[in-house]
Amino acid sequence: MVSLASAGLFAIGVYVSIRVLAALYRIADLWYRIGTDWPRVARGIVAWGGAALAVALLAEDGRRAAFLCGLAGYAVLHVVLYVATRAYVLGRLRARRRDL
Amino acid sequence: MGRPVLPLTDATIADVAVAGGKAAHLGALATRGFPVPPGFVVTADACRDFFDALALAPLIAGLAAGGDPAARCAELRRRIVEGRLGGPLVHAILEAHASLLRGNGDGVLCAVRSSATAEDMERASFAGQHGTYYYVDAVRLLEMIRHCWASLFSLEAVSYRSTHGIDHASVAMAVVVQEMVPSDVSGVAFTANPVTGSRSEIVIESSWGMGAAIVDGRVTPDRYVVARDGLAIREQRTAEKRFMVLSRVEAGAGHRLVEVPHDRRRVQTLAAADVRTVAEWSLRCEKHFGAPQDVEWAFADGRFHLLQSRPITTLDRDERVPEGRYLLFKPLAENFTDPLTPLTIDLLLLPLPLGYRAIRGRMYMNLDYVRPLVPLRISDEDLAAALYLGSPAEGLPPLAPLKLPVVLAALAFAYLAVGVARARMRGLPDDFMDGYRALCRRVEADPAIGPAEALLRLWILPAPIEPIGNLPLIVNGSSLAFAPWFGVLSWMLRRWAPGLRPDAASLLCAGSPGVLSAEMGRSLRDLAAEARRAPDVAAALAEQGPAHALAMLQDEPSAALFLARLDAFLAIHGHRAVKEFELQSARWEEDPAAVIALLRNYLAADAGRGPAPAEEKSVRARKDAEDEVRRALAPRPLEKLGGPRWRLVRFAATRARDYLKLRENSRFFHIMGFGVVRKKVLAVEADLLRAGRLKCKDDAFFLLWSELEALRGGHLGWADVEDRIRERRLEQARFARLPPPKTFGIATRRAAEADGAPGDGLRGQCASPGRHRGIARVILDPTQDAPLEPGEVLVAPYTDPAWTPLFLVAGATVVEVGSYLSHAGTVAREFGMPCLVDVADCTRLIPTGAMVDVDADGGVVRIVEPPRG
Repeated sequence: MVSLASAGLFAIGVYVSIRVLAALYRIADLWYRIGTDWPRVARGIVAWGGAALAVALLAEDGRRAAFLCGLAGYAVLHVVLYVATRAYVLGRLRARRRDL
Repeated sequence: MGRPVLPLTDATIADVAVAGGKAAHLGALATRGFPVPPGFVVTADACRDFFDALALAPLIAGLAAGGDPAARCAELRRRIVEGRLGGPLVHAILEAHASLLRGNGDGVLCAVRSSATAEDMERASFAGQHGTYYYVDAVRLLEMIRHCWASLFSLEAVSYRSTHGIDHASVAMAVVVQEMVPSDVSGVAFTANPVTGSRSEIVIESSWGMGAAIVDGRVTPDRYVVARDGLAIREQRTAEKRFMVLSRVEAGAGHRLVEVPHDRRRVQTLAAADVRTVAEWSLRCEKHFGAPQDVEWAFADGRFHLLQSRPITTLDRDERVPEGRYLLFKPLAENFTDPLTPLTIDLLLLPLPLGYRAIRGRMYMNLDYVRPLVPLRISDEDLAAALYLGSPAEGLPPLAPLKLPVVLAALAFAYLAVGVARARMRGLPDDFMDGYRALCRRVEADPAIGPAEALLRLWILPAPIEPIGNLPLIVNGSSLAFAPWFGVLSWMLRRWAPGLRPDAASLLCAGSPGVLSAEMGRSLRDLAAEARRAPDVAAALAEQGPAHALAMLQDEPSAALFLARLDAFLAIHGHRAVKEFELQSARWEEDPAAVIALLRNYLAADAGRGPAPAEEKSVRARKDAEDEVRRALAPRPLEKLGGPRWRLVRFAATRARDYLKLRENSRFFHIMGFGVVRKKVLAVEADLLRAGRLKCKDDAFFLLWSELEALRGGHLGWADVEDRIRERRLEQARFARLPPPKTFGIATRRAAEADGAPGDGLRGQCASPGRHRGIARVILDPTQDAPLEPGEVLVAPYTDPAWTPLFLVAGATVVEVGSYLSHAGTVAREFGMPCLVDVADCTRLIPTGAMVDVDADGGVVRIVEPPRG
């Protein structure tokens, strides 16, 4: 039962991480109209950042780590996927160049 | 040594070993009175003597010994091209050439063509591995003969011989030197239909200038189908012939392909009497050789000339089928069904993951990569049908539990991979991708970014922190989330309102404002209305060819407002084109005449008048469907307390509708990125043309990206790529004549159904609900075929945004390849018009003029009455 709850919190951590990242990206996404839309951007960051903080604070000590692992783990995965995709595609490009 | 040079008329079928197959056939025809241009043959004996004099034997023997064949071939070609021909041979060739010119003046140019000496070699030559040179004058004659001989050692020819067990040391080549016919019109004729195999038809293709443009697929020719009995013309199609290969240019001139004057582009190249002449001579060739023939011919100053006759090898030949199980990649195929050029395929494969492969110019998906991710006990046939049609053929097959963990892991990974992108897309304003245009301009302006890098930058390799609006391809992929929302919506409606009409879910997903393809149609309608307001403009559009009309309007003061609006239209939609997933397709901003052609069709159909009833109909149909759903849900428990079910239905419908809109709109933008790649390719091509490393416009599209880079870097030259380009153009033209199979290595049930009699109705998928009865009009090219009359049923092979104006006029649409998410489906839903997609072979089975009943809800189109007359 303990592990099921931890797994649930880990999944919540992943989901919240996705939303926090999306909220942060929204600065770039709405930069072209940030003059008018900044309250919306700020609301998103505060809401999802606040949610992350709230869950981290409210979770039991033993399960907080699971949530934080989900939260941080996804952020790392997001960066790794970006770098790996780049490396894979550029690797294919270099391989074609080697065929010259 | 035998005779080094023979007059063409002295070559007979018995001389194949000396004169080669081509010369022997031409000689046989010439001696029997066929109008073959005069010429002579430099024999294979002369070739052998030349090779002996150069002491090539050790190098040739080395080809079979392994090592680096490319280096050995290059060395062989260099020695042949730079070798000196013996004095007697030079004398014999120049004497024969002088007698050829005698009486014709010094300005006569020759064609120098390889003539292989063995049957296997002849086939190799047909595949374009051996050299052919046009516009050759006395100065370049000897050089070009040596080039022909050197082409025996092109890497492709050597590889072909190695594969077929032909001894390299045994080969030699004769060369035919013929007077070039200054052709006004030329073309090819097939004494049997090369596509259908019918022996009762003769197919003639013709265009202005030299026939090379047709053979290489550079132009769309006029096409005539003639009955073998009586030689009556059964079918004729006049194409817009934008380019021609000149037959009268200075030898050595860099550019041979020129634009056809506007007033001749849509003029028929052959009168009925000419068609008959071509057919008669072609049949005589067939009778002479005793087998269906592929005849190259030309008219010069009204005289018919026979340039070549050879058997039609494709008639009984099985196309090479790749090993494995492949399914046509529908997201590309539903945008256009023609084969892609090699460069387009090469670049498109860069961002695609493993498991995709180009076969006969079309993109296919390897089923072996998909199968492990499908947790069902399903046959290859059913899996292919489900993937192609979007749903299983007959109910849901049983689960395969052992596969579930892998599938769940793959789904979880997919969710994690696109999770942030999907979350970022939510609730963004409609204009969030507009900034992509500025990114395209920046990439376009950066000379350090080549075509491949531009494609990757604009499609899948964003900067670390890039607005989601700059990633339209990722938005496009993420909007596949439409499918689960549509599934949930359909499930809720089935469960809570089972009595509702079956297309209710589709109607709830239609009528969304801001779909850019639909807005383009509205902009065109406004443009047509503007044209109608200025009578001079309307008259020019109606009476002149598109390009000529545009040129006329530039000088017409009353057209100023229309032209300003046209410029404004092009500023937004100028990156679009017919066949826009093909890099070779000119974009509207390059060729605004294409927009004029669409507008002209629009004006002819009189659709520019009045408001826009089609879009209003779509919104009204959605509102009606919403009312119907609310009424159906009302008796349900607790529904009176704020309508919880209705809220859920509306939420799912809104989500599905938003994702659908995102999918179509993101395509508008990633096609813009593809347009930038085209501009990059054109810039590279222009450099190579200036440097003389390419000779013809559009040749770049028949090379691979690495070959273009090698040309730029000087690692390859024109001589290295000329044969490749020719071979690929020939192949492209052949592929274009073959309908793309939906699968390789799998027999689909759908294919079997398609063979059913059209009397039972042709089945397809409903992409936009409704029913309509009207006259069918088959349109293969929206810029060329006759305009659609209001209310007619558009029958098309596929559609893309260039077809949108026709949707404003049509009463219903029937499309060969498509899906619910395809352009045809999305735009038809926005215009509230019934649309049936995936109707196999509909452009062939439904004749223009037939009265058809399109029952999109039932997924069937029936021919009610055949065409009159």
